Amino acid sequence: MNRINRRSFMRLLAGGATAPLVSRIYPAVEPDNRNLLLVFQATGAWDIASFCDPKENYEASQKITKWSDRSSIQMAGNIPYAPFSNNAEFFEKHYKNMLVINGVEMQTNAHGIGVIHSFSGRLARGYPSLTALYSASHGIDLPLAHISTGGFSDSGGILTPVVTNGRSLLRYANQNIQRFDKTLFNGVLFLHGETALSRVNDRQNIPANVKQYGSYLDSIQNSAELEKLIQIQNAYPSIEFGGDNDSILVALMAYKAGLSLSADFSYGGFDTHDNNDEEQAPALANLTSGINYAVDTAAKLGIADKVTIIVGSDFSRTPWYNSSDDGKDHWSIGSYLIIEENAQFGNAVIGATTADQVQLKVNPNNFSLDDQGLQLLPQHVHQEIRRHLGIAGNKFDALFPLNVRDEINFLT
Amino acid sequence: MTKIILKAFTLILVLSCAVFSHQALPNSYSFDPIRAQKTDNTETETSFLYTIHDQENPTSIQANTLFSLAIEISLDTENVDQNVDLYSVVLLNNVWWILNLDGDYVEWSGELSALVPFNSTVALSGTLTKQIFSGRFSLPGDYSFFTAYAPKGDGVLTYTSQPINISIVAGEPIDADAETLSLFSKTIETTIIQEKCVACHVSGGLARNSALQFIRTNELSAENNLETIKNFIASNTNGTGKILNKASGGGAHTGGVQLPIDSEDYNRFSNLLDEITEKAKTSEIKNFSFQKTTVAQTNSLNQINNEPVQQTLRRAARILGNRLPSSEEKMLVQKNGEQGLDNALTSIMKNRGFHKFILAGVEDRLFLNNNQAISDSAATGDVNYPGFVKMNYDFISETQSYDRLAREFWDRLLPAWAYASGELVAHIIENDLPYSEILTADYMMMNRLTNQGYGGNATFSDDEDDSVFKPSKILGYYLPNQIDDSKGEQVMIDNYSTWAHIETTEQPTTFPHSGLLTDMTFLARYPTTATNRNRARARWTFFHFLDVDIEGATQRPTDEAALQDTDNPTMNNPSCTVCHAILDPVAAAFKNWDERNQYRPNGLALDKFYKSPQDGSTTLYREGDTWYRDMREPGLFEHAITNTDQTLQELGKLIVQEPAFYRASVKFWWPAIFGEPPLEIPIHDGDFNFASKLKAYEEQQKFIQTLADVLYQSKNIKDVFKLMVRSVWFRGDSVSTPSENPFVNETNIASRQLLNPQQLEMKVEELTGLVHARQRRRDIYNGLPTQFSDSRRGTLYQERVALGGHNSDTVLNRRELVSPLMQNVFLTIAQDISCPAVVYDFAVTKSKRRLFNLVEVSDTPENSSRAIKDQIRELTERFIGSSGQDLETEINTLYEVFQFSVRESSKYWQTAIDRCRLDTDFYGPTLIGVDPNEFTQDWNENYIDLSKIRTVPKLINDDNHIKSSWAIVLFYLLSHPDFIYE
Repeated sequence: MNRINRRSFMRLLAGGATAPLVSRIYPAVEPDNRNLLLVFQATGAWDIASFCDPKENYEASQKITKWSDRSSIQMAGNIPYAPFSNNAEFFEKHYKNMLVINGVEMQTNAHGIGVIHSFSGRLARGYPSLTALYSASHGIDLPLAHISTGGFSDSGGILTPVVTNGRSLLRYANQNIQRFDKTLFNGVLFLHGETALSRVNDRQNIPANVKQYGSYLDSIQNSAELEKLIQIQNAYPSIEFGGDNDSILVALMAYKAGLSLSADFSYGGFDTHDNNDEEQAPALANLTSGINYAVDTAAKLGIADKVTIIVGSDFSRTPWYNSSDDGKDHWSIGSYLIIEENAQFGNAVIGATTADQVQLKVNPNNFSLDDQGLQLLPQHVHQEIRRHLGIAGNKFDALFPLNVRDEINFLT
Repeated sequence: MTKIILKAFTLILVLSCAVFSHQALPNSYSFDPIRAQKTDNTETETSFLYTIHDQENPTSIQANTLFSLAIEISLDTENVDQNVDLYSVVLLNNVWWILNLDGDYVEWSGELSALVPFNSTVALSGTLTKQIFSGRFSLPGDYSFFTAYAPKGDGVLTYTSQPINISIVAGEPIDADAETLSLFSKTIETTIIQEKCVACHVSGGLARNSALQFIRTNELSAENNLETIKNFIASNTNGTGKILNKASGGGAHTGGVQLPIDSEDYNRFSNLLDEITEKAKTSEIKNFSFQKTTVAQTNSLNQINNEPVQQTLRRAARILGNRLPSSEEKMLVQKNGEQGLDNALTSIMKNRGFHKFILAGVEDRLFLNNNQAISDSAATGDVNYPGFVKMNYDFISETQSYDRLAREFWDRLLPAWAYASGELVAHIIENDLPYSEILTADYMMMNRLTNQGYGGNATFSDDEDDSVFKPSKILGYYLPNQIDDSKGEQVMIDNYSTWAHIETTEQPTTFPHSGLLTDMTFLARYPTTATNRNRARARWTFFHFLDVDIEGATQRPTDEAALQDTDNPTMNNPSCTVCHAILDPVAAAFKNWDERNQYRPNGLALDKFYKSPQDGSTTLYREGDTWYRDMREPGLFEHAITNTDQTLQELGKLIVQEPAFYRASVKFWWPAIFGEPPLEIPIHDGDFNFASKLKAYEEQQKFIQTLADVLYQSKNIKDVFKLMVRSVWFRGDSVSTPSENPFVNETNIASRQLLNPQQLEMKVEELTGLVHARQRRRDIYNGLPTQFSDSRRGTLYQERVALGGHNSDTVLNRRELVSPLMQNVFLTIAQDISCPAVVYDFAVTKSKRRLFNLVEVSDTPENSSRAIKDQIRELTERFIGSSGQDLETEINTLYEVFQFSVRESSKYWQTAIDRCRLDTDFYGPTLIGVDPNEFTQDWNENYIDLSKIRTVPKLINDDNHIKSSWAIVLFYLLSHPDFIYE
């Protein structure tokens, strides 16, 4: 085993070193480099007819929505939305920076597979989430490269997400975890780092061993970095903790501190087989409230133009109510929202469905509806997002190819 | 013996020079007789004479031309009248092949134990003549043949002292077979087999009983799948007709219509099958391809070396028993090696630690500790359980507080429900009951609270707290028609409406217990709705207990028209019936449990909107129906369930009769032992490392099947645990050749596993006597400490998500690598714990100490270096388990740290003891030898108020900085990477 030699250890301790064991300088991610990617997952399959692909009832059809008994489809700029829940506030607030992608065929109505397809771009297990892919591409060495608070966050083995509700991260980021004298404390960590390094070196032909002790070594070296979260917190005393959006706040602060590049958030309550409208309304309100908070708080932190938000779901819900007359079941056509401040692609809708929520094809060149056009699949959405986020063409893109034949560049 | 034979064969091959002679008979060739040798090196007069028929020159036989090889054995007199097995092996391109009883040459490892005869129990006369084979060799090359025989039950082989050499040269391909394969590969393999059949007709798939088991795409899949079809046709009367009939939806094909009659796919498939049938009729010539059937060539598991058995014992004790091995267990292994390990494991699988292992193992798979789900179906307000209603009323009428009712009564009940399933499994395992009882038990596990509420028949003594569970039956359950609402009394207390009295009119209903299947929390975890109709419950029943991953079978694009089909697609659409035909009968078996997870037989669980549709449509419901008419009836696979009231009991019995139940059980416990889930079958052949993943998966499946077979025989899951621990999957430690080993690349074999939060908590508690907690909790009710309450759990539990664990709700996957957040939590706990652990331990008499049994506070490096080093050695061995050179290095390093601390602490204005976070509260066992009243609050003898340490000088005094230095040593050990990895 490679051990720190006795003489250098004693010199380390005798010198009373107070500096961190290993100095690892991370390049500042913000404000010069990559955006923070936030993915909001509406888990359980949202009712897009009551959200971003609004539908009014017509005589020949079964009732698709109940809100349309009293109201009609509303517009925020070029984006139609359903006057339901808190949608008006949401779309009015973001439409200029928002692209809506409707009519995406998810090719399944099984929740687990739908989630995987929606957030990884492939209809089978094994691929990483978009957030993991992005963080691995541009910030794999960051201490909190990818934060997950729930939902689909598989890494495909390319990095380890930090799973937290946010409060734990702050609670243990504090420098004052150190109880002992700094020399001894740092000395002990240094020795443990040496141990981990020797394990890595001695057993390099065992990948799992390299990952395990490598992650331990990284964590030793990065643990002090978490203190930057406290620095950010102290720099913005007006931004308070203790609410439902702590996880979003921590993700923003982590980016601001140069520690993270992406985060996933999961919002439940959408699997409304009974009481569709009664349950979709608060679920959508909760989701849009979280997105609003992310945008507003990013502005307070001075990073509003450095955040990319993607919103999606497993699939959606039927264009009719089931026998209970209150619930809706699964429907394989879904939607995405993409929000970026001052985006060129904002205030627009790509793709569409019929009045009965059946997918319509899209011309990939001019995005018009075209019977001979492209059937939009999650792969197309992910391919374009990868290009937009600078993932396309890199080694991770090659490792997890989407095999898309026809590209549709809706984010240019 | 094995290696001798192989080396003998090889040596002879190298040295031999085949001697040819020429026979006068046309189209045949005889080699010179070959003297025999014996593996016991005794002399023999036996000789072998080979003859080739239908060929005249053994050095230039064209590939794909017919010839046969016969052997004439002139026997030594000692072998006459014996019954023997005959063996034939051939060496080709440095790979050994052996002829089996089916007349096929298959790969041979060279191991004696892997020898199989091509002819068995042959009676020997003076001369024996046998045809070894007749057929065509398709692969050009130099073949070296050996033949041997061995009397039955006698390990001594008599074999040819040298081989005969036959050279196959390139010839014309077997057109017919090549053409068929080409046609199959181009037109059938991808579009039909891979895109349709393999969804179910594959290892682990839904068509588990079918003779047609295909393999997913790899470089040999087309050949192998074609061979599968050929074999099916050859061994089944009208095999072609059977295949086509099922594929087109006939013959009760569970997968429905996959190839509609007269469709292009159907016609193409039919033509190919006809071609195969015709060729099979006209040609009975055997073809020897000598093609490998597996992707990898070497058995890579053999390249992995096991760790020392003492190390295995330590790790197994930690994982299975949540503790260190005892002295007796160490001695068992020291004396008897691996046999001793078996006995030690028996000892480990007892007591509290093993019980916790089982509870955690169940929770890590079923995620039942989900308070919200339980609360939604909690029975306290349900009139069907008058016992709970009375408990509810008694509490609130006494306290007059809804808030206290929720916090002190309901919260106290939640763990009782959450852990009932885990306790059931623990009861079965710990009492060596048949493991199948987890699904067939006609009882459930209750603690004193649930026993009272359910009207259970268990008895509890006054000193048994909530953590004690016993087998009991629900005897206090009443259906709605057994309760007279008009005679009940509802009251309002603190704005909460509750029943003060419930009037029952009949004897309670018999509750049909069936192990986990009828557990309320299991049902709550996988809820149902009017349209879901128990399909989620069925899906997870298949996954956990039948090794069928129905969702996994949907990892393929589903036809859009099918997804939008409104004509009852689960019954009528082939794209849907492929899964629903299997799923829905099991869903139907849950028909007597409603959305609130309560037992409602005789159709009472049917959704009211099915009976009376709100949209005005006509219902299918008829009076007396107990299930939906537009769904399949209850059953499992080909078995119907006809008992309408005890459907889950019937389902449970059917499940445990399936071989897949035992395989599923092995996979259920795999993560608990190995720290990672079993591999999933790789789906896409284009994925990175597909071949490696497939190889690792297949080999792991073989081992899992072996374990399943053991469980099927013994019915005791402890036997499986032992085999798991003794296997290379657990004990693997190093790889002798750093080659591309699929197991090492695709699994955590030969590496350690990160302990989960519960394991860590128990490890810290065992070694230090303390549990770290952030804030005190009141946990007394009616004078009995609620040891069982989750609120009493410490920081490692409260921060379990941050530490890589799950929360049974939104986070279900376990992380195996350490993040900076985890590290900071570990460091906090390590620092917090080390100081009070030292302080308390030194306050106790030496003989009763947990940590410092070899030193006193007066022992310094100057006067007692030996004792200090010995103490460090013992602590190191216990905390991180180092051995050999590693241990000596750790001891020397730690001693340096200790010395430095003693010497330098005087320079610090606060020592480690001074800087103890004495405002942090800890739970821990009462200290022996110390008056607990000096330190504790009076309402919880196990709660220790650290702020009182300063009031007792003998505890806090540290003038010579020895305690501070020992605190540093403990901090070192508690934060060491080998503390959290096991």
